[in-house]
Amino acid sequence: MAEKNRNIDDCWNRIGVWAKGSRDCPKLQDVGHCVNCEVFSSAGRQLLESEAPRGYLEEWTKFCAAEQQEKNQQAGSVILFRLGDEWLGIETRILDEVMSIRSIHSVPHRKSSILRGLTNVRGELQMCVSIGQLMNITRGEITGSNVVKGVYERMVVTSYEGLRFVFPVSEVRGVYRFDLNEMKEAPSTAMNCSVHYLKGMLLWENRHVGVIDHELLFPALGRGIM
Amino acid sequence: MMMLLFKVNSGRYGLDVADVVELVPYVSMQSLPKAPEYIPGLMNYRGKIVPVVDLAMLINNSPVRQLMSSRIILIKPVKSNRRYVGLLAENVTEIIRVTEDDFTDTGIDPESSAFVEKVVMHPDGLIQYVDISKLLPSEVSAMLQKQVADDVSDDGHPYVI
Repeated sequence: MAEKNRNIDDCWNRIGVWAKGSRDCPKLQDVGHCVNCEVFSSAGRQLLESEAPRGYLEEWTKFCAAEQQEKNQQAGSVILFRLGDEWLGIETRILDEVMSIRSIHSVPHRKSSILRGLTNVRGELQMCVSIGQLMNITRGEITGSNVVKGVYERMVVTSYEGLRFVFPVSEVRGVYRFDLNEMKEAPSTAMNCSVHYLKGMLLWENRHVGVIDHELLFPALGRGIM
Repeated sequence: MMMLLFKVNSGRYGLDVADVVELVPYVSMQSLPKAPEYIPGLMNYRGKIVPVVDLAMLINNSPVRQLMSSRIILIKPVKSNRRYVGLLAENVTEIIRVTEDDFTDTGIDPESSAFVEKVVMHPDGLIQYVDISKLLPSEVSAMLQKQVADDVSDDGHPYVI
């Protein structure tokens, strides 16, 4: 391998973008960066067409002969968000987007506490609901102690079986992947009615995260807005 | 359709990625005595024995060189059977997307042009599309079929790889 490498002129290290001194390659003007340059890509191809180094064959033979490690087949994926003091997750596949807080336009003659109103999602009016109201979660202490109110607040847009709901949350942490075996049953003795809508609990960064069962949540929201 | 490209003697060929199970690097193989020249041997793939066919030998009568880009393409020649066959080829480094419109007939009777039925016009040159079902010589297919029959007859259960 070492002998082969000597045949390749690593001009990108001499006069190109990775040069220690001056980058005075005439081609750099046209291509902008060495990765766009024909010389660089042909050197890469040359490496692929070089003979395999000693030990390479044995290493891969050993690798291929080894038993395949069990795959994490049931990879679950949730989007993590905070609602008041509670950390919750909802399946990533029903998530459409996370957007910044928009104004919610209330709907006249609707007294439902779950329906907050209508909000603008990419030019379309969507129903904005309060998940906290449904699951009996209040704003809590963490939100109260935020110095700049609303800094982390986001709107989460979800859709499932033709129903589309937007709900504001206190904070979104992103997508979390897990093994479905890690999910624990939600405590059935809990008095809090939010547990009804949970599929299970996850431990994430030493916090308990309730995973929302969207098959229960969506019909409940549908009823709630009537 | 996505096509996995490989090279034999500077000619470019492609197979449908839907037929590909996995790509593994060139590994050492146990040679089979009296096997045809295009079968360099058997490889150990995760504890299972997989026969390997040298595509360069099959197409061009020269064995695949041991390059960094040489790979064994694992395919499942018989859909209903989970037995794999490895195809050894050089320069297996690229996958391209082609549409049905990119295909052109070779103009040669499929019977005489062996396993290349269609070609694809690509900016970097012509790519010959290899039909997996026609690629394996009939002896290999027959051998595989026989293996299936044998595996079933041994203990009544089909052999699962």
